[in-house]
Amino acid sequence: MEADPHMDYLLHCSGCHLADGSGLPPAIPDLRENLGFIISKDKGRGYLVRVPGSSSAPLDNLELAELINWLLEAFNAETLPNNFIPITSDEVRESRKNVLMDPLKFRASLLRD
Amino acid sequence: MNKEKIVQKINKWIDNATGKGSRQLARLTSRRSFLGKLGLSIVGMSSLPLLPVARSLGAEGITELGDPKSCDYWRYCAIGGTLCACCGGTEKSCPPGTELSLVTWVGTCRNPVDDKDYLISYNDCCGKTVCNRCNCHRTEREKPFYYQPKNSSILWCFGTESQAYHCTIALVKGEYN
Repeated sequence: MEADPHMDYLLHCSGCHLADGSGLPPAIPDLRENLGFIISKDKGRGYLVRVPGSSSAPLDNLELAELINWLLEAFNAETLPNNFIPITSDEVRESRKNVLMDPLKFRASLLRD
Repeated sequence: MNKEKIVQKINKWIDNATGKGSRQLARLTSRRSFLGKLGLSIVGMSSLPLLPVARSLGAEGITELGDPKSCDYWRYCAIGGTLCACCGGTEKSCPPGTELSLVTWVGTCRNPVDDKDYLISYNDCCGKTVCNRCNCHRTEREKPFYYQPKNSSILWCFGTESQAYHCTIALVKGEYN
């Protein structure tokens, strides 16, 4: 079956982040808020792959890349940088190897910079 | 007045009363209106669901067959918990006095009527002590406990005012394709 990022989002992410991405802040981040800013940072691209919900989702690297790209386009079109380059499956493969030990601390440092 | 006369008098009174009543009834109603009302009540009865097997084409827009109070109901393919349908709610709504959890288990179940897979969310109803009726545990495509979002035993009363688990409903969120 061809990957359908919207379906993958509904099946693997929407249970917590809800169908519209609004989540339940602060426990469950709102996916419509900071992703455009985060992806503009060097470490941000990897972070979106490395957060536990992403990296442990039962999706292969291409499916996860497509899902994150879909999230950025669907929920963050207004804040997405003009020069945004979609995440690739190779990037996902490399980022998944690099376990994120403290997601909240990392997130705080990303948003502070 | 002897006993016989008293009985005759009572009989006459009853005759008068019932005779008057039925004449009045006949005057006010026609056979046609009676048949009309009878017909309406027969049609009305046929539109009631034949419990316990309920066919419905609900707001979610799909045709279903089965008993929402049974663990075997198709929507419950990976449910772990008690059925709100047995606890004063329905398969789609929480019982009064409980709060719907927005955060949920999401997976797919196959509807045997049309043989299609649907995205299902199991929303817990929270805020009252556990309901002990219709306790189900089904595990289709369930993942082990360490993979919590896809495990049937996780309770989802997060983000609700009270974390007390009462029962679970099963909402169809759309067709999975």
